Amino acid sequence: MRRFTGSIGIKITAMILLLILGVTAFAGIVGTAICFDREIYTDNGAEWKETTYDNLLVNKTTRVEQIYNYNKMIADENTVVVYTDTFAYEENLRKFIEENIDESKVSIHFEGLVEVEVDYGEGHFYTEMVASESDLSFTDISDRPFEISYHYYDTKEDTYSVYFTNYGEYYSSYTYTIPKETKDGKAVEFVETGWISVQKYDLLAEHTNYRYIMKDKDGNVLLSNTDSLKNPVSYKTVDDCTIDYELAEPMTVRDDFFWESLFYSILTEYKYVIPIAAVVCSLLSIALFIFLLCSAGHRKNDNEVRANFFDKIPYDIVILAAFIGLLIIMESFYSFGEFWEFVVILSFCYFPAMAFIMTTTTRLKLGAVIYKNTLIYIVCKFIFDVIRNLRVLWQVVIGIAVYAFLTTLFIAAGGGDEVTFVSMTLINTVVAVIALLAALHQDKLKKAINNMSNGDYDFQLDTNKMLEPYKTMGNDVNNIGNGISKALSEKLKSERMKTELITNVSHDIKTPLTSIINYVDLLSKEEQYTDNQNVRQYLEVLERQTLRLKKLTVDLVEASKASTGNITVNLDKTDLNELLSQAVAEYADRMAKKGLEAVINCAQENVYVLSDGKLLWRVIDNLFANISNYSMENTRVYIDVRSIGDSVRVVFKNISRDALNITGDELMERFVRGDSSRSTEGSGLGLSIARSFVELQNGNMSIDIEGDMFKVTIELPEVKNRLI
Amino acid sequence: MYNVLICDDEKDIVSALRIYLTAPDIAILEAYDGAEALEVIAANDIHLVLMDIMMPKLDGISAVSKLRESSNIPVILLTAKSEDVDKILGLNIGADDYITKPFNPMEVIARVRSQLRRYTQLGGIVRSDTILSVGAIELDTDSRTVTADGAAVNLTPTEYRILKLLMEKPGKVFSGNEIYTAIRNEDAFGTENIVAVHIRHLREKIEINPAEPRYIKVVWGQGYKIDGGERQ
Repeated sequence: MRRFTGSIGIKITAMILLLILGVTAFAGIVGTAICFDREIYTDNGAEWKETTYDNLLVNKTTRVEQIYNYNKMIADENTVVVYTDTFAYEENLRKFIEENIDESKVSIHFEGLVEVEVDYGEGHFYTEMVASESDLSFTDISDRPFEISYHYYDTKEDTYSVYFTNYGEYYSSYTYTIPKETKDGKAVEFVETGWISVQKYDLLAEHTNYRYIMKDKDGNVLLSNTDSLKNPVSYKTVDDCTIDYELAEPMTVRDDFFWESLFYSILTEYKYVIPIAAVVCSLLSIALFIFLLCSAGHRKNDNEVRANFFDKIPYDIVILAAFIGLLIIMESFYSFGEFWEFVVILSFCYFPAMAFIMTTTTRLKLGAVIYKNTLIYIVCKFIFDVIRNLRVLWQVVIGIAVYAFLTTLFIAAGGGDEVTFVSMTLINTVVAVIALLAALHQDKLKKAINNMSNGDYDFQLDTNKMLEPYKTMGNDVNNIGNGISKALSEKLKSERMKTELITNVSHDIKTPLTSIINYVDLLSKEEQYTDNQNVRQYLEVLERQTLRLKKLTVDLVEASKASTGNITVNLDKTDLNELLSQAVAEYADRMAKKGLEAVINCAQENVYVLSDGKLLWRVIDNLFANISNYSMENTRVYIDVRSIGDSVRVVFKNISRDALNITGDELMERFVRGDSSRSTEGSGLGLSIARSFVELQNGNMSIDIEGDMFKVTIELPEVKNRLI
Repeated sequence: MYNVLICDDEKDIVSALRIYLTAPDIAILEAYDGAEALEVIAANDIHLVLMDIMMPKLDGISAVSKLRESSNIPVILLTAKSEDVDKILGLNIGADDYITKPFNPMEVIARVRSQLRRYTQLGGIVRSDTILSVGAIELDTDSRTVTADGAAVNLTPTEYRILKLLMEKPGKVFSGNEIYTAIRNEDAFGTENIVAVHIRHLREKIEINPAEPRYIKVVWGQGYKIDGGERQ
């Protein structure tokens, strides 16, 4: 399971699937609700179809009436009847005026913003919007494009005002003042009909599936977009006209009727599939969502919950971003123009929203205290840390400043008189001086203690001018420093004496040892005795043991120096690969003799560490000696070199010949060896020396034993900059 | 006939060395402190001195510096002091070689022979353009022969080329890669091992004690170099 949940590809696929399934489930639920509402399951939707179509048709019929009314605006010989809805478009009003009114008597009042070019010198212009108001004649604005979003009319004594507002590019409004009399001397009567706009366009046969014939009581066709109707439905108007209508079959135009019928047919066709699909998609969506929650924080092939880049962003910033995102969505709810725009915005919001849910889940899983990874916490902690690390003096100065400010503020707010003010200021000044003096002394003490904790025990605080009780404290600190300093120098002295002692003893041992080695060698060349089997065997023992003693004396000096740090270390850039191949070459013969094969795995071509090449060679020399002495014959020795962050890790792995009944840490103690290897050559100091040398080069070394596998790990600081 | 003086306060060591060094062409003289050694040298025609450092009356270091005021005979220090500083001090005051106790008798013999050859034979060699030399190693680019302390060394072609490369710039550190590219003219990735092995063979052939080389030195973690005379 874990093997693939972490994969980022799987997560993104799951999110996309969840989006698709979720939208489908939502659509399915809505579809099912509509099916129930319209009783598709009970009567096959027949009734619904009829009523829906009827509603649509009644609406259209009203429009036919209005268009008819527009066409007969001249109601009788003396009166012109104008239905105000006709003027939903300025074009219609202008047309009416051109046909019926004397244009010279029409006045137009303009109010709004206009673009004005302003000269700011040297022939440069910029455009500025200026509020403007003007009276125009009817012909002045004949070529103006009309884009009107609001209108109303107003009846005055002898004129009508029709007001158009344009919210297009800039705010502007036009008020037409029209005489109540036509150029033929007829009266003009405005009749309000409501807010339905009338467009002839809507009712042309090529634009609608609606077919109608409107006749007067004598059977004369008044308006129509067809010649004949097969199954007309009749509708009688107030004017005693008849409108016969029907829907085209088949529907050729994609108008409201077309979509309604298509939607209906889909609902009817899939009425049993839709609820099932809704349920299935809902269940799948829930399952996917749970899966995503489970996989949050997991990576490929990794059982641990780990924070990714996103999870490390302070949580309050994430919440803020989520809040802003929510505001944008809410805003888009009100302002989206088309449905598809809303869908696009929602899809854009979906992935950030999922990311928010996932990161919240990961954070909760990690069990980390969420408030610690917030910007507010980090900033507060930073400020707190800065204040804490300031000198005590500055802390006190800040404290006094705040205190003085607050007391002054309170006195001022309480309306205190001059006496109170002056005396408070005096008291404050005295308190401030005492506090500052104390702070100065504390600073000195802090510095002295800090120096000591950093290892400078010789630091002495000048307590002559200090006040009690700081003087006593200062003296005590000085005494502690003296004590430690004395103890330390004594320890150093004894360490040095120990090393010197060991070095001298080893020199003294070496001289007799030389004689022993030489005379054992000479003895072994006396052929008259070496013919004897026993003599030869005894000589071999002598030779082996003297060589061991020789190695022991050398190692003893080295171990003593290494552990006391009594050795010069010249740190320099060292090529680890070069060193390892040199070492392998040195040991090639010895390892070949035991059938050991060295396998070096190195990730990069060049790995540089900061170390003393000679000392590092002594480390690797000891390790290789160990490997060649104690490895099982005919096995492989693995050496892995890997860069880990700031350091390089070298791991030596070999199979021990004998069972190891000891821990790695014990093996690195001086004179400790695996029990079964006690009788063989070696001083038991090799690993201890190796570790001391590694530590002298600012590295560390550890030994792990797993069954018969013997694993030595060395870590040394890496040099990344090749120029060093 | 060479006269070799052995000087050590430890009589057993002197006797052992006498046994090892005695040969038809070598005569041994003995001394048991620095002052006695100087007397013997003044009274005899000595060709080489083997000297201990820590001795009563006059120690080895003082004896060598005194000796160097008047003579340039080879001196090999033979001592239990194995620190780097001791070796450097010994070589700086004029010793030609330095052997630490406990020593391998065979190595002592080899070094004595080497010093004798240099002292008696090498002085008269005519310098020529075709001969590269570092310390007691000479490489003749004409005859493609190599001698160490006057004795011929038998090298493989690869070893010869590596030695020639190193000897052309004594003291310069060559990395494994550089040596490989220089002698093969190929991309050298992953071949350091081969070079390292060649160098080791070269060392075994030229050096008396390959673990403590005098000429061909391993600069650990950097590469290889050749330089004259003093051991690391």
